[in-house]
Amino acid sequence: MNSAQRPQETEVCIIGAGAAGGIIAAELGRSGVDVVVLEAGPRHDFTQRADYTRRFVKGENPWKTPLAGLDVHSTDGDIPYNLEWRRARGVGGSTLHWEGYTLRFDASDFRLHSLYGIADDWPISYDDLEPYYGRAEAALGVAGADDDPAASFRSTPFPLPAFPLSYTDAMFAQACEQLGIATQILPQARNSKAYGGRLQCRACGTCHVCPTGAKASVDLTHIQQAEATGKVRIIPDVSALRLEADRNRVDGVIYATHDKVEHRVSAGIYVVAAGAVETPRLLLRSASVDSPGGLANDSGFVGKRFMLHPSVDVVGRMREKVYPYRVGFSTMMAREFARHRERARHGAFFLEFMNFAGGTPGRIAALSGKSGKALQQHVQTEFGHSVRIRAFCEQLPDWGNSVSLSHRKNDYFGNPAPHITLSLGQYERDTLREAEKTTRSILAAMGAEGIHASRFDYSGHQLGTHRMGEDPRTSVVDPNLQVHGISNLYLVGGGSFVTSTASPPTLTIAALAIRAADHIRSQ
Amino acid sequence: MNRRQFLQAVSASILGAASLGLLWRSGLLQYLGWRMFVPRLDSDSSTGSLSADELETLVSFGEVLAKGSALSVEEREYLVEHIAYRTRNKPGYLSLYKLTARHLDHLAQGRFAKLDLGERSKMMISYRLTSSRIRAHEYLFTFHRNQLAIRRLAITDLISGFYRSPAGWALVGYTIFPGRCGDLIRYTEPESA
Repeated sequence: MNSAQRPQETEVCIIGAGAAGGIIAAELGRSGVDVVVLEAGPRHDFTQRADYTRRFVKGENPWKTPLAGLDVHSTDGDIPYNLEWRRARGVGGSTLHWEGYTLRFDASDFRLHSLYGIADDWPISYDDLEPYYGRAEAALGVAGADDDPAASFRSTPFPLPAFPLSYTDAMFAQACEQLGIATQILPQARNSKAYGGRLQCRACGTCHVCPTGAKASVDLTHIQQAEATGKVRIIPDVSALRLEADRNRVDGVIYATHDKVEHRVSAGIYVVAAGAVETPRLLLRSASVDSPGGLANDSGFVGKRFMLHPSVDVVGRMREKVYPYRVGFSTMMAREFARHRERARHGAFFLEFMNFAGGTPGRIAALSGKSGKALQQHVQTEFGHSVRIRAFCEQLPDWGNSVSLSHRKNDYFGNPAPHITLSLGQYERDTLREAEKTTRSILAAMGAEGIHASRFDYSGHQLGTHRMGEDPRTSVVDPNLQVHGISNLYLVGGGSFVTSTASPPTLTIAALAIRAADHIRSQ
Repeated sequence: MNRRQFLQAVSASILGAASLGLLWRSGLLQYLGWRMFVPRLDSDSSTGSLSADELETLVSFGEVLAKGSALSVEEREYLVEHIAYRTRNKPGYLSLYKLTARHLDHLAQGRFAKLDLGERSKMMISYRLTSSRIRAHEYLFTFHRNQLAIRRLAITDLISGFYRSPAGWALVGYTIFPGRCGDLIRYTEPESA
């Protein structure tokens, strides 16, 4: 590896231009702070979205990292967790391909230990985060309705009106009502009307690639504005290799371009926002004589307690057509199981009522083994009857689940790839079983036939590997996401979560990022 | 061979046959056969374009597979676009589709595309080229490996490509579908409304 000649200097260096890094860059840039952002993936030109959509419809992943050697990883444990489709590299990070669901956590989510005697409490409360939730909702453009009497207090209304419920939502809602289950409109960072210089959603049905930009992604909601300040410089297609530091202070970050030439950035403050897999990997790779177990790892918690959301889909068939695939996102949820009182017995789960279920004509045709007129008739008969509910389940922090450095695989630069160890405990299995039982009962009440559950799956919500806390012995960052004992290093993103909750994490990642930006600014 | 050796040989044969039978019944033998002999795309092969004749052969093949009746000009274009996209962008498809076109012309003893729809259909039925479904034992005992590759890979891809296109969605009554933007009210009502 060659070394570059001239180090760059800036006030703040951010590693990662995703949800957390992009938001912090915009917040600081607006305040006149000089920022350099290093991003491992490319800058995805918005004008390419039509082509990306075509590729997605053909079953490809247009967000796949072009340089395949960057994405290698090894796995261990019960679950061979594959990162492809579960994260996106590039300016915008995983918000490029996320579903856009933006739920605030419930106040009880921050106090699992106090309320239920399980896991740990967060060092901050819902009330601490509430104003930042409001700011994050405004920045991302969240459409929703204040229709949940049990929801935690909110000081600001949703910035956008809710999306209307779908045709199948009415069927789901009726069944839920029979069973005494409350349903709510699912809040999402997607324009129900034009907002923030972006168009209204046009139900293109390919939310993994939003062709219109109606779904919020930080490349559109924050990075453009950040660069427009003239204070923020994004450097795409570079990989941070290690942080140079003594015991109490980071001096620089070494990164490499694809030609394997090394460069250095020197900054007053460093923010690592590379996600719950890459952030601990970078810290562990930055081990030194002063920090032999990895930078910021005096507690031994770096990379530990990796969490995500195990999920299960339950599918049934209705006699009548239900017209799926006319919109690419879900519009209704049931949230009461995400804050239930039996949490000591099994975890929280969140139900998403899907507007896309069963095979598409392409899939039905491909699996049929038929051809000609019989095939055409088969597709016409089979398409459009399926209904599906997805349950996202809470996973408790477990020391055995972790991200470490691989001994088996190296990345493009010859450095140890991430190694993910992941298994489910009894608590999560009980949660999945309970969620499956509940969803089955809803589908049965709808009159669905042939009800069956998918195999367990796992979300792309990677959490918990540099958790926050007041005690430096049991956490990596403090409540402001500043590393204990290293005052110029912040670790942001889902890795700072203490528990996973059952809710999609991005709004909380965004709120915590804004809070961290305020703290950095105050310095 | 003395009597003892003879008995040993007979016992071994019976035991072997019984073991094979058990493995067959358990499905393990089929699974192993499938693992070993299932045709796969050659992901190291080059991408590129087919000749006009090859493309015409494949569209004529796809026509029988996808609908069993004449495709409209628009439907043919979707199929052409799908095949061209695959061969240009996905390693393995150029060689697969060249093989398929060559094989069909060989079976037709001339240009497959020149046969009328009924003749094409008849020929495809006689060579079992109408279904992608392959039984496990066929992987073990079929010597026409090219034919298996066509059935498993080319037929599946042509059918799914056609039904994934606007033509496939139109057959289930959708003029707006994933990838084609519409309005925000349609999903709230039944499709006929």
